[in-house]
This record gives sequence, structure tokens and C-alpha cells, in this order.
Amino acid sequence: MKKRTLALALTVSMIASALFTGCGAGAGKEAETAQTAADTEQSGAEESVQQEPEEGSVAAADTQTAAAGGKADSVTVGILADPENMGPWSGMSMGRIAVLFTTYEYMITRENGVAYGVLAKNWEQSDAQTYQVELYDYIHDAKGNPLTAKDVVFSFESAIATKNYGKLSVIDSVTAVDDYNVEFKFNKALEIGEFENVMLECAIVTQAAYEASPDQMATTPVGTSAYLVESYVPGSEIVMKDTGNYWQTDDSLVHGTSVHNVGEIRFSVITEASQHTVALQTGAVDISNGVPDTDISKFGEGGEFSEGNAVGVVLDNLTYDVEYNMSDSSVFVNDENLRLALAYAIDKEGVNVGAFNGNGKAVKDFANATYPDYNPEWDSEGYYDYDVDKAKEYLAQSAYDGRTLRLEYINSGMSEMIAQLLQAYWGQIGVTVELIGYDQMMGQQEQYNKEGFDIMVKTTGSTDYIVNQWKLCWDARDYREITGGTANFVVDEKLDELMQAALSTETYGPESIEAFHDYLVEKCYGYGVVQGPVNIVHSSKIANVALDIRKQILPGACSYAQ
Amino acid sequence: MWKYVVKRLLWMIPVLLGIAVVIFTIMYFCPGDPAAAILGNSATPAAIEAKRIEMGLDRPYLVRLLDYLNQVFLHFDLGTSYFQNQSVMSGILYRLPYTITIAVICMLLQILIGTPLGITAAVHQNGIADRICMVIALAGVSIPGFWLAMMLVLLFAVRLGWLPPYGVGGIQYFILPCIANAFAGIASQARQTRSSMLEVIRSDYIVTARAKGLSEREILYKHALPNALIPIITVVGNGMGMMLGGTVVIESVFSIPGIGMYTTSAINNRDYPVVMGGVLFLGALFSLIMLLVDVIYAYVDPRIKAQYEGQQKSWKRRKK
Repeated sequence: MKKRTLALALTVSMIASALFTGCGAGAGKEAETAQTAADTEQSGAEESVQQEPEEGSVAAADTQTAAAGGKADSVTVGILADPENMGPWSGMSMGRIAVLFTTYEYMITRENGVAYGVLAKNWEQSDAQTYQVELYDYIHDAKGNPLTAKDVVFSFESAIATKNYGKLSVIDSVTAVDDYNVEFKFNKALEIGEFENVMLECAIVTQAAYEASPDQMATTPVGTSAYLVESYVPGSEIVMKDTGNYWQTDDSLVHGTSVHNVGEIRFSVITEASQHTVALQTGAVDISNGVPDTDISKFGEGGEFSEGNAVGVVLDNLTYDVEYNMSDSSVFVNDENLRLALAYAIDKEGVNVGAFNGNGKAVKDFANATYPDYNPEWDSEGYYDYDVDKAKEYLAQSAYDGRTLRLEYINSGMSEMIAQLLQAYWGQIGVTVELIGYDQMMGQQEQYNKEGFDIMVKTTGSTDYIVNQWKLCWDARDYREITGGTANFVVDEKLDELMQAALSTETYGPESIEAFHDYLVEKCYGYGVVQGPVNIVHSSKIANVALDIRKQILPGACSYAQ
Repeated sequence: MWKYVVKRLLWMIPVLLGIAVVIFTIMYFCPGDPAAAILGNSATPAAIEAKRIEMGLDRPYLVRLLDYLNQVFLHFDLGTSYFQNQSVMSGILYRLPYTITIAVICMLLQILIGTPLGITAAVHQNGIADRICMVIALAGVSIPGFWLAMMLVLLFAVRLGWLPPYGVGGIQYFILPCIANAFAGIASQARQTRSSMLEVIRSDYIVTARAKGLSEREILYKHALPNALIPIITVVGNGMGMMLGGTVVIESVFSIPGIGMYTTSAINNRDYPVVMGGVLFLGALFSLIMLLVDVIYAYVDPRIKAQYEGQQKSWKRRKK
């Protein structure tokens, strides 16, 4: 009797397991996206991702295609975090970047490396440290308040006062010359992309709307975009509606972030990644970039939920880099052979397959090929190409004494997986590696602790030029006070000179970029490994997905099935 | 009795003070910098330092601690969220109804299902009903809440389409989260009730009651259950605290904007005022629940009430 009961219980549990097969896993995506939010700073331009149609072709589409596409009454977007504060100048967060460009407009936008005016009609440099910006003279916000130069001054001064935007620290003064002209004075000669980045850093609102808001626009933002928040349930849902009164009436001047193809946008906060899968399965949301990598195949061709859904895959702008600790006490500081040994031991394509099912891309620079100033010739050159024998030779020539090296990484999402893969590759040549994972906040702090690690896996990315991604590690001027050199403690005058030459507007160009790239490859203080993908799952209601430069969904700019 | 309640309420002040000092100290020494979190990874060390100074994070530990205690206990202000730029108290009060709704429904489920299960198991000790009840209870304490939550979602939201998988709205949005959250509590309640009831059922006065010819129903509900209630109430009280804490996971899985999600998101962002405010608030709430449990003890068990009053009398005698 007991045996029969046990057998019955086991049978029931097996049937239950079979019934529930397909349970969505959920992890990691959130933190990885948060990293994107933190690492990429500018806003603006967009990119369109054509759905992966059943024929399997992925067509390129530009902003104008999206703008000219079909319209829809409403769309529901799954986002991984609540914006928490939708005020124009509050601190950056993962939830905030998801709704930012639907809510606010900026002076300019950037598409494929080219800057276009949004609120700014024209701009010009009048001397080394001064710029004049002319505004359109018919701008008004979503509530109808006219926007003039005084509002721009108010917006920039308010943003600077929060100290939330480091990029605005180069501003000396912002002055309204007249109603539609603003003068920006900077405290130094700006470097490549820096003026655009300043223009892209500060959301512009009218002083009248800001002062009328009871909570500094934290829950009731009013920008100049076509959308106005209709309701906001913190932590749950934001509903935005097209006011039908967008100020820019000339469609040819409406760029990516300002396109408004849908009447109502519902941002649904879904904090658990696997619930994004469920939400798409049940039709509760139309589009999401939060579906865990493991569930993507369910929506792709031949997948369980492929009917009525599609998957778009686009390369992220983040690169997973390896940085050696180059401080005085580090094993790497005087041991180029050890640095090279580890570099040649990594099969970058293997990392791509292991971590991203091959949907990412092995990189050939500290940055990746998505930047407009990336030199495509690097793709055909060697870049520490996987060679175990060569790695072992370098290791034999190095002073490596068999000690365990500490590899630091942020213990969320794919960084952990990549750290494990690197550990395995380095183990192949006889280098023992201990993994030290930190959460995002702790990692930010520990990256400057020279005693805390030997090697670091880090994700870096910029939204404009390759040199500005390099800057995030190699511009010693930003880190000298804390590290004595670059972000990873490199003290090398030549590297500093080359970095500054690549960043200066006077010397920026293919030559300075090439020189820096070559020198970094030669010295091997750090290198890029792989670029990850961003997976967008959406219903067939959406014909063409539009993303901003941080790879966040721009629901207004998507085009919809007719 | 009232004096006892007032005394307990006064005792809550040092308890909360202790919680405030402990949580402040933990957050102070916790690695990670809110200034860096606000500015993002790409911020330069100089920009982070400027932000730290602006936020007052560069001040010494004792100065910040005394400031915080002064703000909380003398001005009843839990501070302002670094990220939301909104009063922590208003943030908590906004989210409280969601958390309380889940906790109260779970509590009711725990009492209304767990107690009868336990009684049934005890009455039919070693019988089939006992075994079924205890298998359910064992499953309840063994199955992780988040796993059960996902299974419920897959069955009732995805396969059957009966209930919403996440979010807030009508009462239907609370069904799955409450079942997932309450299951472990129901199990504990059933096990505790069974164990208490078994102890009481074996007592001499129950044998006497049977000998008097009372019906089983009368014996069970008039004599056995009231005497088994003390440990059951303790479990209920602790369960309420567990429910309030346990909602952290459930709120995350079901995207319910309650205090748990508010606090965990703040921990990730190192939003110190929210974390400290959230913990302090939950601490105060838990203290009140425990006080309520003690008061209920007195009403359920006259011996305890007499004990409270006896303490007061002896205190008065000593005073004289």
C-alpha cells in the first residue's frame, strides 16, 4: 500500500513537472541593463531593429523608415525597473532611461554619429570656449507653455545645481542673448564630442511648467515631447498619451527620439526578468528588452511562442573588457609577457558562443565596431588571436610564479559568465585564477582599490565616438587623483599623450585614433573581449522596432503593422 | 493591563533607537557609494567626490548618526530619498497598502487553512487525514516561495489564463502572490496547531471531559483548542512579521510596488534614507504586532492576564 501511494505521489509530481516544463528562468538581465544605463551617458540618436521575420532576413531600417511607418493606438512596453523619479534632472537609473526620451527632449539628438538639432535650430562655435545656440522660435511644451532661451538657461542651471551630471561641469555660464539665442561659455576648450554631449545631457523644460509642478516633475513631468504622462503608479505603471499638439510641425525636422507613431504608451514595470517572458506569452505587453537570454528562443522561429511574436537582435554598445591592475605592486606592471600570455589564451569567439550563444561579437579593439570612428581595417588585423602555444610561450618568458590571480567582476548577468570562461581559458595555460564578484555598487568602489584585484572584467561603452569609450579607462586626467594614472593604474606618459591627441578637436582623426589603438595593442594594458547582444521580443503588432542610442526601446518611434 | 500596554509602548522607544543605530551603522559601513550610483559608472572620481560632499556623505560617522537620530526621533522625519527626491515617509505610506494587503490576506489564509489542517491532523493522529495534512505541511515548509510563485503563474496565468501574472489592480492581482506567500505560513501553522493540540488532547482534563460524556466536538472546540491557542497565537504573530518580510520576494516576482520592493531597490542603489526608513518602519510595525500578540495572550489565557496584574501589584507593594 505504502509503495503504491509513493508511486502515485511520484507520478503526480512527474506530471506536474511535465505540465510546467518551460518555466521561464529569470536572472541577470536587470543588472546588465543597469550597467548599460550607467556606462552609456548620452542620449539621442536611435537605431531601428527590423524584426527577425520568418524568412530570416534582417533588413536595415533608419529613423525615417520608422517615422514614416504605420501608427497604432496604443502599445505596452515591459520595463525592468521603475523610473522612481521622472524629474528632468534627477540621477540616472535603469528605469529612468527607459522612459526618458519619450518624456523629454534635448537640444540636439545624435543619429549614427551625426548630431541633429531638436530644440536647437543652429549652433556655432564663436571662440575656443564659447558656443552660440539658436532655438526654434515656435517651441512649446506638452502643456502649451512657450519655450525660450530663458527656459534653456533655467534648465541648464538647474541641472548643474543638482551635480548629477558630471559632463555639465565644463560649463562656465549659460546666458540668454535674446529670446531664441543662448550663449554657452565653457571653462576649457572642449574635446571631441564634448559640446554635443553637453547638449545631450540636460533635459529641457519650461520654467513655468516646472514651477507649476507640485513635486518638481517627479511624477508629473512636462517636457516638449509629443507625450504627456497621464497616470503614474510608482513601481507599477506609467501611461503616456500623445497630446496631439507637438510643437514641431515640420515632419522633416522630427528626428528619431521625437517621433510619435502611437497614441498611448503604457510602460509596465516588471522587475522579475522571467515575468517579461510570461507577459509576452500572455499578451500583457507588446514589447520588451528584458526577456532572459534563455527564453529568447521560445519567441524565435520554430519556438513555442513564435506565432504572433518576433525577436530582434542587435549588438549592444557595451564591450566586455579585460583590464590589468597596473599599480606598482601588481604582477603585471613590469611583465608584458604575462599580460600577453593571458591575452593570447582567450578564445574570444568561444566567449561569444559560451556567453551569448554566438549572438554577440568578438572585438578587435578595447571598444567595438559600432562607433562611427572605428577603423574597419582592424577587423582584418590580428588582435591577440587565440593561440594557446603562443600564450604558453609568453607565460614561460614571464615572471609568473604560479600564484593565484584575482579576477574582479560585477556578479550579475553576463559578466559572471564571462569571468568563468576567462578563468577556464587561463587555466588551460596553467594560470590559476580566483573569481571575486561584487555587486554593482561595491564593484564601482573596489575598482580603484589597487590591492583588491589583479585583473578586472569591466563593461564600458559610449554613445558617440570610440575615443570616448577609451576615455572611460585610459584618460589619466580623470583618474590621476585616485589611481595615480589611468583607471587601472597605468602610468605611461606616451599613452596619456596619445589619448589626449585622440580626444583633442585639433588632432582628433584617423591618425590619432590609429596611433592610440596600435600603442594599446602593443602595450597590452587591457583589451576588449566581446560585445554582447540586446534581445528585443515584440508582438507582430510592431513592424519595426526603434531603439535609442542606449539600446532602449523608443515606443513612439517604432512603426506598427497597418 | 493598560499600564502594561503603555509600558510596552514606552519600551519600543529604546528598541527603535537600537534598530536605528544598528541599521545606520550597517549602511554606513556597507561598501558602495550612493553618489557613484547616482552619477553612473562613467563618472569621474572628482565628480563623485563633489556629489558626496553635496550629499553630506563626507561627514564623520558620529555627526551623521546624531543628525539622523535627531531627524527621526525629534522631528519624526525619515529623510528624503536620494533617487526619488521624495520624503521616505510618503514613499512608505504610498506603498504600505500593497504590503499590508498581502500580509493580511496571507495571515487570514494561514489562520483559516493552517489551523483546521492542524486540528484535523491532530484529531486523526496517524490516520490518512493526518498524513495528507502533514504532507501538505511538509511541502509548504520545503517549497521555496519564489518557485511556487512561478509555478502558479505558469499554471493560472499562462496555461489557464485565469489570473493576471503580475502587477496591481483589482483583488485578482493579489490571489497568486498571496497563495505563494502564505503557503509556508499555512504549513507552519498546521504543524504548530497539530503539535499543540496533541499535547492538550492527551491531558487529564480532556479524559475527564470524555468521561463526563461530552461530545467530541465540544471537547475539541471548548476544551482542547482554547488551551492549545497560546503557541498557535505565537506562530500567528511571528507569521505576520514573516509575511511583512516575506513580501520582499513576492513583491519582486509579481512586480507589486510594496515596501519590500521599495527597500530592496534602495539597497541596490545604496539609497540609505529609504533603506533605514523602511527597516525602521517595519521594525516599529513588527513591535506593535508583537505587543498585540501579548495582549491577545492575556485575553485568551486568564493566567497570563493575572500574571500581568500580579506583576503590577507586586511592583506597587514594593513601592509602598
